[in-house]
Amino acid sequence: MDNTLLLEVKGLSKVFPGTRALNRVSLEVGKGEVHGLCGENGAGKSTLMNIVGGVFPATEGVIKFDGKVFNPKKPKDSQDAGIGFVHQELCLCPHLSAAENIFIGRLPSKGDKIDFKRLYEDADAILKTLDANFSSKTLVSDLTVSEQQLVEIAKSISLNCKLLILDEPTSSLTDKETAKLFQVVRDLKKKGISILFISHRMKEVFEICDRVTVLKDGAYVCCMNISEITHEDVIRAMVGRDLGELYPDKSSKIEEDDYILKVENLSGNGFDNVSFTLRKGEILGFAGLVGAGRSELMRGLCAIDPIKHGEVYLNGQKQRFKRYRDAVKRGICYLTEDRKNSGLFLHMSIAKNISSANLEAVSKRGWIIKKREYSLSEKYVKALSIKIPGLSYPISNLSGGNQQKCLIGKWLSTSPKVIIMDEPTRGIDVGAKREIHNLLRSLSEQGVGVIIVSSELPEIIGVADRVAVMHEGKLAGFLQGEQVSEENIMKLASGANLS
Amino acid sequence: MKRLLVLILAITLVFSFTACNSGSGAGSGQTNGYVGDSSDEYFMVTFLSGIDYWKYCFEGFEDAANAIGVTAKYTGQTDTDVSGQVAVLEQVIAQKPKGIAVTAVNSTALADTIDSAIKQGISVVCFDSDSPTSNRSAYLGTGNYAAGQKAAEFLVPLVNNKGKIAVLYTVGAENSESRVQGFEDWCKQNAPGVSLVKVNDAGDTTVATDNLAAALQANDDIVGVFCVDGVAGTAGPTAVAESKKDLRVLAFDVDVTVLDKVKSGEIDGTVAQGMYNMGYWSLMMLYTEANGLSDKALPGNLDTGVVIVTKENVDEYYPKK
Amino acid sequence: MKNKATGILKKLFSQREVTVFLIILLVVVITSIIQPKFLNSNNMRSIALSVSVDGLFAIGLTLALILGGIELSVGSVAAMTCVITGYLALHGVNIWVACAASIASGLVVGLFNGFMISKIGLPPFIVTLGMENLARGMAYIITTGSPLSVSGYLPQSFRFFATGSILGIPVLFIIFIIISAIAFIFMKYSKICRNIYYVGSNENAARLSGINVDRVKIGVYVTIALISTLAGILSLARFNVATPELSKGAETTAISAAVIGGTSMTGGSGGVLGTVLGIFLLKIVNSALVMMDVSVYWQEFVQGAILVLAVTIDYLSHRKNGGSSFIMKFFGLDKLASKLDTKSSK
Repeated sequence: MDNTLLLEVKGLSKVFPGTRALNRVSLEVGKGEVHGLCGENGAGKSTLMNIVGGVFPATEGVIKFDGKVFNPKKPKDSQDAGIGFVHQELCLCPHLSAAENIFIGRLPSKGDKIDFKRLYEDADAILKTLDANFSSKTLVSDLTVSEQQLVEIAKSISLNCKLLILDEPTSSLTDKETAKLFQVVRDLKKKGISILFISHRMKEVFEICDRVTVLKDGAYVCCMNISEITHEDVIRAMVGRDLGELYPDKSSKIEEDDYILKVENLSGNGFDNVSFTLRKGEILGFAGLVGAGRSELMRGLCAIDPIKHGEVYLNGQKQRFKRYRDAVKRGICYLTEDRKNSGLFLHMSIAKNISSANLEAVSKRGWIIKKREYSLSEKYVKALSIKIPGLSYPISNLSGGNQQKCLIGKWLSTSPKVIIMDEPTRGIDVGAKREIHNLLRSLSEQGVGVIIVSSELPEIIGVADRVAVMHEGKLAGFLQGEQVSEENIMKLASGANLS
Repeated sequence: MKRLLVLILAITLVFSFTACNSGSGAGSGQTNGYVGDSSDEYFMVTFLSGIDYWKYCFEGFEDAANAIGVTAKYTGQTDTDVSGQVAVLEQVIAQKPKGIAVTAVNSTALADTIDSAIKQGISVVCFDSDSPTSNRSAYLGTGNYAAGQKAAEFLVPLVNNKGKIAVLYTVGAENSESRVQGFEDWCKQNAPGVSLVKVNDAGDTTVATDNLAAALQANDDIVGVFCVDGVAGTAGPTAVAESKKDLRVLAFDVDVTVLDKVKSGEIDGTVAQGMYNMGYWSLMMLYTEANGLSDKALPGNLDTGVVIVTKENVDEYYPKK
Repeated sequence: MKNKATGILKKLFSQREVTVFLIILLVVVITSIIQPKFLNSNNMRSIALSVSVDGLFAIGLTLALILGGIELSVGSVAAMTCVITGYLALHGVNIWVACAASIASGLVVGLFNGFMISKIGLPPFIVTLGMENLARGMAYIITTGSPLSVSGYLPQSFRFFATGSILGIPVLFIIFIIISAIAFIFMKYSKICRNIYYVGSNENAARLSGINVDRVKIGVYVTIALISTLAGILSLARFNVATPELSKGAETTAISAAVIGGTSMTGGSGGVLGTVLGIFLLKIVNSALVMMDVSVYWQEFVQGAILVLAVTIDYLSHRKNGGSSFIMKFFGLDKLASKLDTKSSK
């Protein structure tokens, strides 16, 4: 590793009215180093990055960049200094071409006219160094998320960045795309560009980073060499205590012949002839590549989307759901993978969010009784130990984990027989993840059927008792007990046979 | 969308007018003096095409067309948008009619379009609202200014030449503004004891009522109301009735709704312009010019007169069924 | 509790309705100083009349905006139903039968809007803009453009609803208050109307909560059309004329009232009380300008300025950090509160 430091942050604090978001934090990134930044949600990662990126100033502390004291007042200052920032939510103009996005604000011109020829040539040249296999003329809206990410990276490179900040870059990528992104990161590293890699995923941090800095509650915890530590070390530093087992114990009392849910030959848009059973006391996991039809299957099963044919039996009784509401009434509910866009009523209160699936329970002759609404919400807030400032506060104030718990509470209020969770812990930090996993296990023990759909293999393997793997809309097979391994799941998911 | 609707409306209107027209004027062949060809089209173009006012104008226009044997058509746009009227006028020009009688929503904005029609050999006259900067052959109508003066001449003596008169009109609409100007100037010269309270009717019945109601509350000494345009004609009497005051009220134009109010005594009178004459003589002049029937220049300005309609003569002004 | 008074006031001022109410108070106080007649009972009466019809439109728009949509045809639908009722009455149909017929036509309009928006999935802006023209066009077709005079054809019992008064209060205003109260109670407390908020806040989430989103949308657009129909019928009774030009541009006033009252243009939040205060503010400002003898050429300008000011004050007072203290300072209430606090702590 190069010994000279590129970025040096010392004693950095940030005080917002009422809270201290950062407390004397340090961070050192060497030249040509891939440096991980870990911490739970609210640990101060984004605040730190926003200060380095020039979004807002620090209250106290020193930043040195490339040996000089660096004091960015606006994002442009950081950009000019050579810091590239790829946000988690990409900031591209979808209706413009990749090239126009890369050179936005500095399009090459010939006289008064934009020199499109040069624009596309320059953009293609940069994209080529990133090993991108699309033309710079492609509209951003036609690119996949990972390709859009490359456009963002290309934009930073075109600005001659020395430090590239990647904020949760893999959160919406498939495993293949992630592998490709990591190749790009390694190439950039070879060229001497430093990378600051922010991620929740231990596996990725250990795969790509040289060192990792851990923050907790706005304070610096430690900086460690990856080669000298294990996953558990990082997690312990993040959570501040020993988590013990990462995942809850597997079920000991699966009743082989007692089916809660039985699905026969279900076909619909994106899935074909799927049959499976959910036994009492087990958590059934659905694995597969993005686009394998897992979410579509679940939505079809609940009558959120129409099905072509097939049968659904609940506790032995054949069901005919005309619409999702019927499924909910019979006790099947679906928790979306996309919390923000189709799960939460962001600007409405916590109480109103929790009561939204079961207004009947809190109303009398069509009138909502506020007292009942609040006591119902209170009940689940307590039962799920959700941390809230108050039931009347907008749910947007909560962290991802607490939001997800509210959604679980919302559905528990309907006394479901089967609860289907699509990506149950997406965007949720380690501590809260564990709580949700434990919750799912205890629900299962209480006799509620639990199905999880997850793209995180460790989660599926750690939580599910049995794993159904899908490939291109069809069930590729079930894995149980010793068979459940990343290797076997990937084999089935990619259409290969188990040897 | 809006333009499409205007078109549909225009077509419906034209259709209903031409339907009654089909019986007469079947003459064909050569133009011969004041015997025309039914394939020759003459257009009347207005703004606010919905209002009754133009019906009286078009009645005259159509009667003249029937007498000669040419075809009269009516079109316009429903609002007072200047660019809207330019567009309608251009569409009419594209149909290459023999002549166009147009009332200009704005005195200067239509001049170029009118001139372009004349260049293409179409005869153009203005009626009711003039476009003096254009090359139109003639203007037929009563100046709004003069009509305002006539209105003052009638209303001011009714209030014994003193006190405040509320003037309810659409601020910014050119014809209303000149009527108010005429009214105001007449008062200045002939009845210094009268002062005006200007109230905006904003082109909407509800708003007009609200505003006049407020003005009546603020000024106890208002003795009369001059409702300068169609909206005011509906709103004014309602506001006066709701205020429970006994005031002298004069309206403008001869909508049936206004005539009913004159007849019932709810208002004292209304100003009628020579609408039928405007339409009739517009067509006559257009035909004369288009067919070169007069080697003398046409009169540039034709005053079609103003009459105050009161309870005594109101029956004459109801449209014939 | 050391700063109890400050705390209570701060909480109070974070409510949008309170701010709007205070702005109204401010306008009333200023106007009545300049023009004492502003406060007399006759002017109160004419303000009450002026909020009544436009207030109905504003309630309709509030529903549409909370749903995350918009409704641009309220004025035209009022014109259409006004004209239909008047036309039928003029042709000898019993007035109540005529009202029923125009209510039916309003229902058709609402169903059409709702169907196009929910089942076909067209944007509400386009659908209701189209309906604005369709309904207004229908009014023109029926009247062939000019107002139909219906004097003598409307029984006094019908006109009473717009021209009568009970205990000195105009019936028209009483009707408006009743409709507002019903709308307020339903929007705040009923299960059915809660779903409007859910759909407006996040349509996908509402669907995934088992809410029948299409039915909610159709219900809202039908309700709005029926409210507009009521406005149309009442306007006929008030003006005694069936004019196709009725309530042109009423939509903008209605949207302003709803937004001033705190209803969000992006859906999911807002309420009827705010809207009612909003329409009062607009109409009081309007009346104040006329009463203070502001030149007609200045009125629109001043009105615009006051609106921008009102919305700015409101926005500033709802900023995340220390917003309510801004509005308290504006009205000089922060000193009062701290005085109260020091007193109570002694």
